[in-house]
Amino acid sequence: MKSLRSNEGYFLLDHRNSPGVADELVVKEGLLPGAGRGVFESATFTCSHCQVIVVLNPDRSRERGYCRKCDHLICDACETAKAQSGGECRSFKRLVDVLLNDAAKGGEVSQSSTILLP
Amino acid sequence: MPRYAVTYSAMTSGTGTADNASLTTLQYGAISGSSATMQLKVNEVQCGGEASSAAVQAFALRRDSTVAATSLTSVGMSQILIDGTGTATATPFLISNTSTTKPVPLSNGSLLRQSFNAFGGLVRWQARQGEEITTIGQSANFGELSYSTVNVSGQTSAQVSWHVLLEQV
Repeated sequence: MKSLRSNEGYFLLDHRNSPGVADELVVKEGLLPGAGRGVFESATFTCSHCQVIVVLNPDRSRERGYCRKCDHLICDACETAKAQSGGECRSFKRLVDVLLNDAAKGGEVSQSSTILLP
Repeated sequence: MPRYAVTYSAMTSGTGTADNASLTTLQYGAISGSSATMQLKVNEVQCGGEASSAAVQAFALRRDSTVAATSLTSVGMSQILIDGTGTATATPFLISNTSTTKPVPLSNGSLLRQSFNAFGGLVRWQARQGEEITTIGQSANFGELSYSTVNVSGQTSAQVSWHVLLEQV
């Protein structure tokens, strides 16, 4: 059985031979304080709705957004949008299918979509 | 499907460009499809600094709301087939760092943020198979990705080299 962890990517920030980056900037970008010094490694996930890459914070206590329909973790912005839409799944893979179907039918391929951008 | 490495060596990162503003010639790398049905699946982005003094970099991989068009050139950039025994497609995807119409990153279209110090630092992201960042088609908003610096406080122009690994579908 596939677990959500099997979808995780990898993020490396290597400042072993560098003065590194101040906490102010790395925290603003969603990383932990201290991530800009030495070696920082973390798991990531790709939001299945908007495709933004989220670097996982092991200290986070809030539950991650999850879409049952596409069985993937989703980012906080997409979780909010999903809740507001009554649980609608706007997965990027579905958008790709729609665009490919439009192209196969010879119709105009419209790239305006209902997908929520990050 | 063929896998490619897109590389850009010795790029000057510049002072960064905000979303919704045209990127600066030679300070970005744009990767886009070349047909309405082409998909590109990005599974690794790495950037290494080559500065001789501390220089914070705030790179981002962003979708573009205006795609590069007319007279596309790619000085210092290359797209290389990863598998030496593989066969390149007849109509490969497009790369550029100069064009008449320059890419404009989509507002809030950052998919991946990579901040590091170009004085000895490097940053890398790798996707699990099936979890890649995907482009579809050749037009805005989902047909092109650009990799460049963002104009945040502390961003300092420096020399960097980077690569993107992707699969053309």
